[in-house]
Amino acid sequence: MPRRVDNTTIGGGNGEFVTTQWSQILSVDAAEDEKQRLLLDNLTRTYWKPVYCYIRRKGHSNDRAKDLTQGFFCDVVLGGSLIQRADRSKGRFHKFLLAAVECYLADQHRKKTCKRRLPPGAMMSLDSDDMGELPAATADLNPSEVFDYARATQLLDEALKQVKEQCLRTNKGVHWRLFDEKVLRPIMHGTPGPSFADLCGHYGIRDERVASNMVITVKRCFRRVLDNLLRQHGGKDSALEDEYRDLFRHLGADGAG
Amino acid sequence: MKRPSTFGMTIRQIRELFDVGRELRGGPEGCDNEAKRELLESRLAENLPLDRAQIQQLPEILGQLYQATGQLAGDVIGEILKNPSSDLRTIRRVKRHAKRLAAKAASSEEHDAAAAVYYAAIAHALVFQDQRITQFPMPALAQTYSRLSEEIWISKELVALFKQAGAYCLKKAASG
Repeated sequence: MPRRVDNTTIGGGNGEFVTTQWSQILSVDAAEDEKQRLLLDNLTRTYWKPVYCYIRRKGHSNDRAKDLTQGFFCDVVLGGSLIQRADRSKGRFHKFLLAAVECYLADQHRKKTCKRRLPPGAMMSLDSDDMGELPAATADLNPSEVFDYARATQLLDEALKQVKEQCLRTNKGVHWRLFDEKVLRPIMHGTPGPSFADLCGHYGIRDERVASNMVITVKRCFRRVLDNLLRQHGGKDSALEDEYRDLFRHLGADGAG
Repeated sequence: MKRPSTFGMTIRQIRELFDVGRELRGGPEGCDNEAKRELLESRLAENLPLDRAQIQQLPEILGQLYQATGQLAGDVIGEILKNPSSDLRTIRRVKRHAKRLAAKAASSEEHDAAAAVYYAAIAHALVFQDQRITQFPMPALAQTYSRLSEEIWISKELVALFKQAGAYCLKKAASG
């Protein structure tokens, strides 16, 4: 039987080179201050919450955990010593980062002091949300598992943010809303989503096939974005499924599935 | 208004979000089982359009109405396929209708949903009427029904029909 295929996509092709965090770090020349600052700012944004959660789960209070997190990013990350110690042979970047956090915590425990300071001229944009208590979902997780939990949610939040922005930028706001109602909200709220018939009636879409294709388009975009983010967190040579397995190894799931 | 975050969700929810679109990665265009399931349900819930002979038998005014709107209620396709007593002529019309739908499908999901209806019509004729309404050879049909029986987006009732049809085809193929 003949077949016609819908080629509508948003977000462009997925052939762009994915720069991993390792390759970013290793490419930084100590003399390139601006590049270094941008890189470190990016690392800080990406890992502030997971590091905070890790420290919090180690038993520190909210305020102390924030101080220690700030101190780690100021002294170790923005202070430059993280890059100087960067060693790709240590495996995945986040494991190297966690090892650095452990060293820092051990140091601070010895010194029993922690002061906030910024290296001169450094850009630092931290997530200043008041974290408060860790979520109930992490109650039974150890510090490494909480770190992975925070990392996973960070990836998802970033992916959803990028996909939504792409949809709005390419006049696919209705695509996004369909995806939100049909896919995201049922997962987030544990409620059954509306039928395609209902969605068509609500948004004035001519038939369910069109609505279904719109949802698939956004799903595909989400997949591309999330996979790219995950590749950035892994090594250049690590397979995507390995990254998934690594992320969920501690979170009670069966890995790649 | 602050953008909602996934921080705070259960691990199961996080895992479900990570799985969104996973079946679409690297596979052929459009492998969304959920979409296929919904499309198949839609197809089965539709009324089978009248054919030309039936339209010609209608009073003129109704015929004109049909020409204007393209819609006149025939029997629901899903009910036709469920009913072992559906006549062969109607089953053939379902098959032709599904073939037309597959030909104009705009995505793989649409095509696969239409193909399921197409093969369901063939299966109905084989299983309930011992009639063959296709030129496909029996061994090939048996393989097709075996594959369709494994698809998670196809309803239990259709899977049962496909399994019966597969067994029928294997038996016919073996007996030559």
